[in-house]
Amino acid sequence: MSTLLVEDDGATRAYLLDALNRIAALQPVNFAVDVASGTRALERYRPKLLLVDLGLPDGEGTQLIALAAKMEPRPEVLVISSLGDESHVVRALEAGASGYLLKDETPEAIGVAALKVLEGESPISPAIAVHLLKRFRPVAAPAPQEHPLSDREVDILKLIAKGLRHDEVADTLGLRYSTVVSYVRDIYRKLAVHSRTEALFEARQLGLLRE
Amino acid sequence: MRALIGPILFVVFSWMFALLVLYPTDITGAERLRTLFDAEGAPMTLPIRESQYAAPLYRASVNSDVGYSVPQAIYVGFARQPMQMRANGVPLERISLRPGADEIGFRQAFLFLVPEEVLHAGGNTLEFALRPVLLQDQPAQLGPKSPGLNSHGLNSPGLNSPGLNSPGLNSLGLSDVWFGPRDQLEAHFRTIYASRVTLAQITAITALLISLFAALLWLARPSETLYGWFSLGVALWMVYLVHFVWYRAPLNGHCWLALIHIALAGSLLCIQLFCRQFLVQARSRWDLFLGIATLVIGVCMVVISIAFPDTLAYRVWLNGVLRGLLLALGLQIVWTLLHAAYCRREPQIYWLSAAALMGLSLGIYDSAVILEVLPASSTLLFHLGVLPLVVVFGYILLQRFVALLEAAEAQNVLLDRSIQQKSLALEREFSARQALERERMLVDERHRLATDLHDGAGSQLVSLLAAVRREGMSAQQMEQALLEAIADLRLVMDSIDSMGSDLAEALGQFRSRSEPRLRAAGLSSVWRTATLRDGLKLSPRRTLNIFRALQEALVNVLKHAGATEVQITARDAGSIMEISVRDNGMGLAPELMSAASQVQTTTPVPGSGRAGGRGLANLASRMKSLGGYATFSAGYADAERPGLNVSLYVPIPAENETKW
Repeated sequence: MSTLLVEDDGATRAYLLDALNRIAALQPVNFAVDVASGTRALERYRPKLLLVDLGLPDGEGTQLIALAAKMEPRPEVLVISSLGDESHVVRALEAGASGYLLKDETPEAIGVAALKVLEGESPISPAIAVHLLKRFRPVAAPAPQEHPLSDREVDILKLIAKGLRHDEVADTLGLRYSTVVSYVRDIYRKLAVHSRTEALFEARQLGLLRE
Repeated sequence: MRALIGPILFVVFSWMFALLVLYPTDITGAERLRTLFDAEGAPMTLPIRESQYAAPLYRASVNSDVGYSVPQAIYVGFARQPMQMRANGVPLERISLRPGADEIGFRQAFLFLVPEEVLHAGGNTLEFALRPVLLQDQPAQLGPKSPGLNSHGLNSPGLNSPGLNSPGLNSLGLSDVWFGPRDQLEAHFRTIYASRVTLAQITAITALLISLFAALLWLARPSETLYGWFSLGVALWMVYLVHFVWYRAPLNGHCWLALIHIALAGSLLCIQLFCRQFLVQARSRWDLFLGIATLVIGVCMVVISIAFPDTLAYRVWLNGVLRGLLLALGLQIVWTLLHAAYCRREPQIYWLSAAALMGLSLGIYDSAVILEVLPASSTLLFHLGVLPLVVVFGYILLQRFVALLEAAEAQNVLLDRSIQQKSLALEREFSARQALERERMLVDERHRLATDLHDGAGSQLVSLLAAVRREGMSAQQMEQALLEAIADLRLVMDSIDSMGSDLAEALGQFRSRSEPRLRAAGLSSVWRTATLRDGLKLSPRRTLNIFRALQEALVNVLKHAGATEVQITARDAGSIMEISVRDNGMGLAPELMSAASQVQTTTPVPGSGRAGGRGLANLASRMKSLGGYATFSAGYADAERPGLNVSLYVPIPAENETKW
């Protein structure tokens, strides 16, 4: 089990490294400072967990996320966000990230988030749930609905959107906590696939791709 | 091409009239009778004029050495009376130009058929009874039940009418008497029939149809009185023409004749008014005078024709006064048109003048025939004068109609173009206004963001900086202050993200931000905000204000209450919504509680006692800016730890807010 951290800001990187190094399960923790070095490190260390900042000096963190999504075995990806706002996080999720991490969290919270994502539990905020509901709404989708959300997934997203925690969602719907967790993970995967399908669809529409 | 239409029509009409006038009166192979003899044997040279005295019965003889191998006939080119004939004492079958018109005294032509067996070689006697009553006096010879005569009205009631026996009928004229082979005379008679009867009938029907058409046009557009005068003029002329179609008078024959001529006068009056209207001239005194004259003479004519029919007075009025009136009317029209043509020199007026002149000359020609200046047997033409007039009128009206259509089309094109221009301008103005609106919205948004950042994270960072410079701050305090600044920044971001989301979802986002902090501070929180109804949307500005108010309430709990649990509950009831934050802490001092409660009106709470009065005052004034208010009360009925319940009341806008 190894971890790769890609972060260009020195102070933040030191803070995060400090938080990650406290947890044995994540060792060894390597780091990179931009897309180029991140790409090399990905291939070299083949980490189980990738933490990546979106705004890097020589490109977008999403490039690294996309690269990681093609690797086998596929690393879990957490995007490092300063404010946890919808626009940043959703971009990363679409590229294939499994969740996000706030820079200002306490070291303990950071460690817990890293461990949780390795166990298959993705963080999700109400704003992101709202975004997902909108994104998969049939009328708004420009692409053919190849991966629509199931009714149960919609129910879960609606409750999360109103601020309910995973355990509250599980109580309300009569599910087990772990079921809700895996549903969220599935929804994220669908978002990534959905985004790719949309991109393909748009490329075909533009004549960039042949059938 | 168009310019040729007028001259061609003119030539056609001239030819038609010329043919009618110049049609040869000689009939080849027939013998013209020049002299008749009355009962005393006194000779009478033909023609017998209408003004001349005529005996009731005349004789003539025709000789043939060899006898007659083909059927013979006698053709009478002009007579006004219902005459009868006998050949060698045998009554002859009569064919009239206008059967049944005997009692009216129309101009007639007759063809008498002579049976072969009646004539013989040598001298034959022909008898002309200008008053058929005389023949009826000798029933033995005449044989009233003779089949050949019955159908032609020897016994018709009109023959015994008093009018026919009155002295006025003594002189009725007789001319153009021909004796010859029946075939030749019949052919001639047919030609005469066609030119005098058929042509008039066709003209009458044409006039009727055109008049109806113009009348319909006029009805469709009553303001176009030109069509009305035209229609009325032609219709009245048609009435005048009726006596060529319909020989039997519906009333007293003389009265009928008078009315027909008065209709003609009315027609001319209408034509005059048409010309005035067409030339855009005011009606003159002459028009009025002639109109009144027509009316007066018309009434007089009717009275005279009923009271003194067939007298000299009647003749004078009919042939003198009425014809004088018609002449005056015709001259008035011709003068009006010629004057206008001379002054204005417009082709349309030329053609109208030509048609009127043609009518006038035909009228003069007819008068000459009737007054027997010209041979009485000539064909009358005036009634056909309506044809060129109708053609010219129709052409002018058609041109006006076409001009109107063209003007309307041009107007349409113009209108289309101006509408296009207008809509283009409107579009441009609209998009400009839209751009302006967008610009304004962007400015508003930027302004709001700047204000939010300035008032929130910005001012927090600045006060933090001030505190650090004074070195009056521990690392822990600084961390706390930075966390607050970041939290406020998140509120701003979240409020922007909440655009288009339900309030329940925005509060959910707020919960996901706040709950970890509360938990980290050892406070357990219970959230009941998911129960807000769906579809409740507020503007980002309003949402941020609610966020900040809640933030202030929670910070107050965190910093000052010493509570272990906090409950956040949201409810909506129609047009108002309540969000309450209830803790189980130490609560506010009673005097502070009442003071804080008054904030819902105006004054901020003085910041004393349990600290945080400032924050609660901010909260209250924030609610006020949203049009709502805040109330403060004890959270629980526990004297030791009453806690504090802060309730925010926010009005719900009637329509969902989608703007800033």
